[in-house]
Amino acid sequence: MDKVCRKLIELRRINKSYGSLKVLEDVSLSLLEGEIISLLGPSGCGKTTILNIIAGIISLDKGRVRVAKGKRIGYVFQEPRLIPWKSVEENILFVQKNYSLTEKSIGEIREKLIEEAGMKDFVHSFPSELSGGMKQRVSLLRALSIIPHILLLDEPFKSMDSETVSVMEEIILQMWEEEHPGILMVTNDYEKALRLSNRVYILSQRPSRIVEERPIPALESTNSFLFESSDLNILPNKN
Amino acid sequence: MKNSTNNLLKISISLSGVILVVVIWSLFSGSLNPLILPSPVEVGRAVLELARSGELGKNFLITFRRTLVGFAIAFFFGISIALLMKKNLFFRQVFKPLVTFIQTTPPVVWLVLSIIWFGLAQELTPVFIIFIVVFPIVLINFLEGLESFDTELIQMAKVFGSKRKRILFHILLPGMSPLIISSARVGLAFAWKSTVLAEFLGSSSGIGFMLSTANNLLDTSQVFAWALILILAMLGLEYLVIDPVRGRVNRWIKCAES
Repeated sequence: MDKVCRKLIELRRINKSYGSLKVLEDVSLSLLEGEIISLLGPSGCGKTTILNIIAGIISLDKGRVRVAKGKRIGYVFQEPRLIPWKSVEENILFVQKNYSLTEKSIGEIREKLIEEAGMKDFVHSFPSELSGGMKQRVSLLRALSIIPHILLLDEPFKSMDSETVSVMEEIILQMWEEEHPGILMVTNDYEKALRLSNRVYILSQRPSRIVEERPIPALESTNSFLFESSDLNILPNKN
Repeated sequence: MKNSTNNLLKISISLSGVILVVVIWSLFSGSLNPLILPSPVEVGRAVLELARSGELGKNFLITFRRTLVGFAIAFFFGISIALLMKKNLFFRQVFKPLVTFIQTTPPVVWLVLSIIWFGLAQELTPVFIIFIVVFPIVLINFLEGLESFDTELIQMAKVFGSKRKRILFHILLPGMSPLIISSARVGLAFAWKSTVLAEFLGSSSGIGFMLSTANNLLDTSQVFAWALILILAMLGLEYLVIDPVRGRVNRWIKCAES
């Protein structure tokens, strides 16, 4: 990592409506290399829409999106979106093959991730043979398997049990320590957001605006931050 | 083991139905003029006679070839135009009324028109009729499948940098294959029937034409013989060609529906 502070993503006053329903209003945010940021906000406020705009899946009505060129984007969708007729291994291989990673390294990365996630016995299983939580794990492994520069996580731990959550958290953090991707996470889990992120953006209810941007102090003080931050507790009702 | 006993049971039940029909048939034929209802034995003899003289093989191949050619053309255009219509609003607007127009016009109108246009040509009339009948079926079936296709998978593939070709071969086609097979199956059955109908009225060869000739000569046992051959051929197509292909595709995309 030569230039640690390069901007990977920049959104400038973006607006998005679905028909007459205004979802986003003048949302601006940025993600730097090696940074982990979280988007917090009430459900249905358009957090996923922000990720989809960054990923290029949906267009915006007004504003500007800049995503650094030539960067690999790993996206963990809210639903696993696995290809039903491909096994766990083939699902991961399918995305790996889109990038010019060497054959040897993609194999090694894949095996390492599958091993760490405890999915070794399921490499040849099909999605229909996996539980919801396991599918979500595969979806995360798939995103990590391309060694992304930008990692978009949409409620990544939603349908996982607590043990799986800690395993997956560890895998993400390990990848982050080794490769320093920029991570943008959407979540409803305030505690987790505060624990994992360098910075959080807090969104209002629809039409969503960024009501607050906070750098998170060093790890040890996160818990006290949580308790003194009274506005976070009333957040779902805040407009 | 249990499976094979089950299969055996199913086959014997189906067979007993067939046997019942044959028994009733022979009972009735005994008391009726063979010009109206020939006995199963006479029909069997007529089939053997057709096979021995070479008429069966020759005309079967002609009809089979026409069916395949007409079907292949209709299938190719049906799927290509469905893809175009899905991709482009202009094509959608152009083809939609056209397809409805083709579909709502009774085939017999097309048959009369094609005889006027192409005459009692060897190939053109049957092939044209197959196209007219099968093309809208394939197109509409496939288009409906495309509409309901899981776009989330395609989005996923795009976000992860997949090229168009990979999306087509790894996601779209495998995902659509059950539907492609089922439209092929329906289309092929219609094609087979349409060929015979077109040959009956507007051709000078093929099973349909032979059926018409036998009818004109009041050779009822030959009419029955050709009918039997048509049924057996369709069953053969269904069980020997379509079913194995479908089984294979289902195994290939395994559990796509589950």
